[in-house]
Amino acid sequence: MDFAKVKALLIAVFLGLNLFLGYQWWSLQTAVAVYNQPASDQLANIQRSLAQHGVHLAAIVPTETPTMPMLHVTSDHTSLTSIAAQIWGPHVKVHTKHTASGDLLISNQGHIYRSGAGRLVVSYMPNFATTHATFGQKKVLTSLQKWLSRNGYNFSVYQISSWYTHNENSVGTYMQAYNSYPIFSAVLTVYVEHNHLSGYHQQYLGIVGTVNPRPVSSAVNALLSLVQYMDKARINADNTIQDIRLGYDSGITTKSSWYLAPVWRIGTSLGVFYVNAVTGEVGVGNE
Amino acid sequence: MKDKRRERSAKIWGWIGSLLTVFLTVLVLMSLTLSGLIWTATPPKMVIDQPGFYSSALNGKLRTVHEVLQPESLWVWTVQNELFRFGGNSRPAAILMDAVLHAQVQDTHLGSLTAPTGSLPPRGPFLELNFEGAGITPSILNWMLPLKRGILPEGAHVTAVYLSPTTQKTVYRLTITTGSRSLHAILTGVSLKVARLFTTSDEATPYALIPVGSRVYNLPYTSTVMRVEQWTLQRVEASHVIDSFFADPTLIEAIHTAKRQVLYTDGSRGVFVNAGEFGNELSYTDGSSRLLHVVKTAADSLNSVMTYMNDHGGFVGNQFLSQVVEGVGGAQARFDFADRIDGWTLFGTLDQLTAIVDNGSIIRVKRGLTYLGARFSTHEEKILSGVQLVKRLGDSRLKNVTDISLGYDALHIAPDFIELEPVYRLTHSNQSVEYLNAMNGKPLLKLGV
Repeated sequence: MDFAKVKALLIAVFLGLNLFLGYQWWSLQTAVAVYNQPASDQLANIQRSLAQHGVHLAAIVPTETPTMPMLHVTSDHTSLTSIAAQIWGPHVKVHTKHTASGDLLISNQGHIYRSGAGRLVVSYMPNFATTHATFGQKKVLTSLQKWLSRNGYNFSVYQISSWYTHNENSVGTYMQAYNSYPIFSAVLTVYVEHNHLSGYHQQYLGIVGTVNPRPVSSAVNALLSLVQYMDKARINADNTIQDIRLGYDSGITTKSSWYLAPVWRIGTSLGVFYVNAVTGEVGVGNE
Repeated sequence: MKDKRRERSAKIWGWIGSLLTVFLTVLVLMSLTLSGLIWTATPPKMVIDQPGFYSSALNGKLRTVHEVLQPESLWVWTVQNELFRFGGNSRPAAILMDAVLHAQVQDTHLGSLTAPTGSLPPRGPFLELNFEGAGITPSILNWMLPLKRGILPEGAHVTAVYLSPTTQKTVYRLTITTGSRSLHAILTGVSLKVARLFTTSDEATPYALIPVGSRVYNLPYTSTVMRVEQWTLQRVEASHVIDSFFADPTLIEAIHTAKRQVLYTDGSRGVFVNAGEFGNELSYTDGSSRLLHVVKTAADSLNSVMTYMNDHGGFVGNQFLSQVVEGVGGAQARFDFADRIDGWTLFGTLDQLTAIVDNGSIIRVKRGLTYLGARFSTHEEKILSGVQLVKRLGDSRLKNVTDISLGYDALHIAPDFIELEPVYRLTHSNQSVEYLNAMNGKPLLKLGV
């Protein structure tokens, strides 16, 4: 066969192939362009979709999409006596009681109660609080944090979430953190009355290990999941998104150990939504 | 001169040839580049919502709502005042269900709030679709009967549907009873096959109403013959079905949470697999709470359950909807399914299935991973008649017994083999149950549900 004819045939074939591939690439780019919108456009679209459901977006939408693993956690099995030693020192006399609903430790400094679910309730005797846990009227928060770092139980792994003061009474909420991402189910709530620490509720989780690190979906995607969820559930009540945070949570807990998944916590005026930051599944919190 | 021209033309053709070679090379390179671009520039899949579950291998059959919606039994009260029982999945029951579905309901009116004793069941011959204790709501009943929506409140539970003949062969008086009131209507256009159901067949078990103290028990009239059957058990590996419960199976982690219990979880959902009476049992939990104001009817929830179960291995055996338990406000509902053997309910945990729906979402599923395989041996045994049973038990043992039902129970005879035996199930006033061997009346040592 004449080489020139073969060449002409090959040119025709490759020309056709390139036209086909070129069209494919162009259509792909057109499709991708929808997702490659600038963040401001994406945000505007989301705001419009939320508004259709009566939801006003009043929170800063984070832009981070870090790689996060699932956390293997366990409830805290440290003995109440060891916890008391960390809080009040090793020389305080204590006695413990086991009840059907949990364990109780009593000392002359205060009480520690641990429920079956592992939640600690630490309450201080008034004389202890006035003598050892009193903070000046100014910078209560700073002094309290310093005090808790010395006398709290594993306080160093908690980060502040909110602080509320009314009539000289303050309530501080802290969350246990892993790699500076909060664990929404491990909360420490501190009660300060007239500048004295009256006690705190604490859920502490032991972190056994990490698995399945994945890049998480963006907060905009989480909001998109929420919009789709609202479509399905026909939710159209007036609502305001006040807070969007990335952290960890789990819908499944056991007596021994369980896994926490990366989630976007979307706090609204009507309730809290949790969007799994890997699968996009939406759940509703009990808060 | 000609040579020069030829030489020039050869040169030109040579250049054109070289140009074409370059052009071809460019085209080849371009096709490679475009292929590479398409290969690498495809955007990663963006998850914006749960894309649906991974499908599971079908272990059983795909079933429709109509197939699982069967009465526990069909009762026939003949012209001669004899009472017969057919299984809820028997041919006569199917004929009646089909006839009722295709008939027209007229002159519907509600009866008094508390029907006077003796007026129900109706006097004279009747056919009764028995739903006692099944918790069938009016919205579910609408699948079986073309009733006007809303005529019965959704909170009512249908206990029975009666058909009494009239002078016209295709017209019947319809009575629907709920716990608190009855509904009366005329059913026209009923198939002529229904009239033939009043003549008994070998399939039917004669029954009698036996009074004991202040209670009346509905029990076999004679010492009926029932089959004792030996079956093989089939087992499904947990690993074959686990994936289907998660949005992304690559995220599943397994933890041994207790002795002979494993939790498979992705942090949002969990599937517990633990050793049960006949083999492994699976218990799925969706950890997310639901919004309380998205209320669905029990019928909508049942529809969701059917779709979900068909997508997760299907139904094994001849399961029927044995009980519906609604939560406060109707947002949450539990659906229990049980298997049937020769028209009799299989008590116990084998082939049982439970699903809980919350606002249209399946939040719990419990099912065995072991189920009935093939029947390999069978023989017939005479069971105690109702009178014989009542005599054996005596008044003192029957004092707190609110109901006696005949059915089957499964007993292990070897690791992968079971025997299905006829049993009488006694339900006590404190809701506890007791099983008696139907052949000799002796209590069974195993505990059932």
